[in-house]
Amino acid sequence: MKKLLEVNDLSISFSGIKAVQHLSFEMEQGEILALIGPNGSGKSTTVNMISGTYTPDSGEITFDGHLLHKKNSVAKRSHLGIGRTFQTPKPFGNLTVYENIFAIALQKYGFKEAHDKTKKILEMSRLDCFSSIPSSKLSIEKRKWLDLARVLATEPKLLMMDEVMAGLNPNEMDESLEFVREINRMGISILFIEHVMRAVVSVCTRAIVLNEGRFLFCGTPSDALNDPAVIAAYIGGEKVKC
Amino acid sequence: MTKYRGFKAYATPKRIIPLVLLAMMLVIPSIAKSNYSITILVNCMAFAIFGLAWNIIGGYGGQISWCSAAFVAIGAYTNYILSVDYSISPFLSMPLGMLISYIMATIIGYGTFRLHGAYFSIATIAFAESLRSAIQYFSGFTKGTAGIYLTYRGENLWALTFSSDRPFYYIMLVLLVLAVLFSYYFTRSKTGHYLNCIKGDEVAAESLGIETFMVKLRAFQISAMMMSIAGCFYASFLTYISPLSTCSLDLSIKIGVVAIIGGIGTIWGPVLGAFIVIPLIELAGILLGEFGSGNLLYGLMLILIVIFKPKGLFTLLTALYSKLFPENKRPEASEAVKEGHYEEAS
Repeated sequence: MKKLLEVNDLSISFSGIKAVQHLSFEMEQGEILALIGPNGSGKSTTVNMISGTYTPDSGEITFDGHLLHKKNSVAKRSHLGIGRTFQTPKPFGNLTVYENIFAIALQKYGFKEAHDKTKKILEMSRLDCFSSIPSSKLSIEKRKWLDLARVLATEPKLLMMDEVMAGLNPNEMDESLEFVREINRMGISILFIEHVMRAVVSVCTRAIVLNEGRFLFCGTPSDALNDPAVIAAYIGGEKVKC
Repeated sequence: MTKYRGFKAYATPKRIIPLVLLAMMLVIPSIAKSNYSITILVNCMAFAIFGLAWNIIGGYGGQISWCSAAFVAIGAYTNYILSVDYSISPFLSMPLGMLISYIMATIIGYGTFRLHGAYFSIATIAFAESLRSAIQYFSGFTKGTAGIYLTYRGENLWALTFSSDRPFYYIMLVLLVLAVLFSYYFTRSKTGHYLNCIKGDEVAAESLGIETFMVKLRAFQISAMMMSIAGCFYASFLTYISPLSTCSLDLSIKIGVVAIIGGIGTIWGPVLGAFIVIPLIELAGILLGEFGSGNLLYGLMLILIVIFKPKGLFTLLTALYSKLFPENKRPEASEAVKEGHYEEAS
């Protein structure tokens, strides 16, 4: 299997607080990799470093054969194929659902093709009945879907989903998980940042656990749940050496 | 199957109303008796164009600029200096004004568009004020605070000097139609779409591959060039310009207010705003005395608009329109509402 993403010895600190320290992991093409850990363990910071929002103090990120450096802005990384969603969805509230996706699709296509592409994405994400509604009026679940649908218009190779399941009821979660699988079937690798363990166990083949900015565990999600160090990190307890 | 959709398909109220208004505007000069009403209408149209130009960056991009007057002054002063000293036609000095505005917009944008927040707005005020000081300081070149009078060259279209304001009425009308058409096509262009995304959420837009810095810069350059074209023609209409009349913060604010009161981010908003604000300021000048009454009036209007109709007066018209022509409501939207899938904006 081809390596899509390699993170090597990544560290960043914010005015003395070491958010992520010496983090290394790899991701294969087509994989759904979970990145889990308690609050403040550095998951979102890692996503922000990969997407280019933060510049790491040290370490390297290689994506699809490109070594990413400071000059690769957030937009340039998106052109390389790195897509992401946000913990709090960020729809373009002044635009309709259709326009949200259409404007992004225009980057790769002409007007006619972008329209077809948008229709396809709307259908796939089951947002087609909302296409002419202002995106600011969508419910929270649909906003998360719109975030996902919109990033699909950039045709990413890697999609980092930052807590897409948070705040959903079990029914909505099942639907969302199916959507995640569908995205993966399109050949898009997924870095799945999540607190809801049921979701992680259901879609991910491998999980990386972070704690206090450090790498803690790597293995299948069910192994992670049974690992004493992981349990200690999540619910406290005696410090286990690892 | 023929592609002909019949007259009715094209003759929607949305297309007919602007054409009717245009026809009215064309007829007015032959009906109007006083030159004064023509002068006010020329002013309205000029401010509608200024408002449309402001709208490109301020309305569609959400980047509030307070240096519109500086670009008006660049257009006006290149026109006057070249035509008074070298008798060069405004039609030839206009591209030079556009070029200078383009360069200035690039410099301001380059320094501030990488930052988020109010930095851009503050920088625009600083730029406009420095340009005004520069015009006053280099008085050998610009005649300083005394201002410049345009040399009258008879009824001359090439030099843009006329004995009455009526020719300017038609010139401004043509410019206004062009500005509206340009705004229309701009909103439908790729840059227009990207700019809308930036207004919606800059961080998200960037993460989705939109080069926000370049898009904002391009929009600001376009806005600046539009402003200086309008400034060039407006100056010829004024026949006298000074730093105070073309490059003051007062003028910049007036332009922003026209667009905000009409409705920012819409094509007809600035046009409507100009045709309301300019006559009202004129009226206030007559009723309350010339000095400062205009400021008082649009300060008051701005407060009322921001409190009661933050999206501008144009929303009143669109609401009226959808009441008059209810068949234009989109079916998908109402279905989704019935299914109860959508929440009120939180």
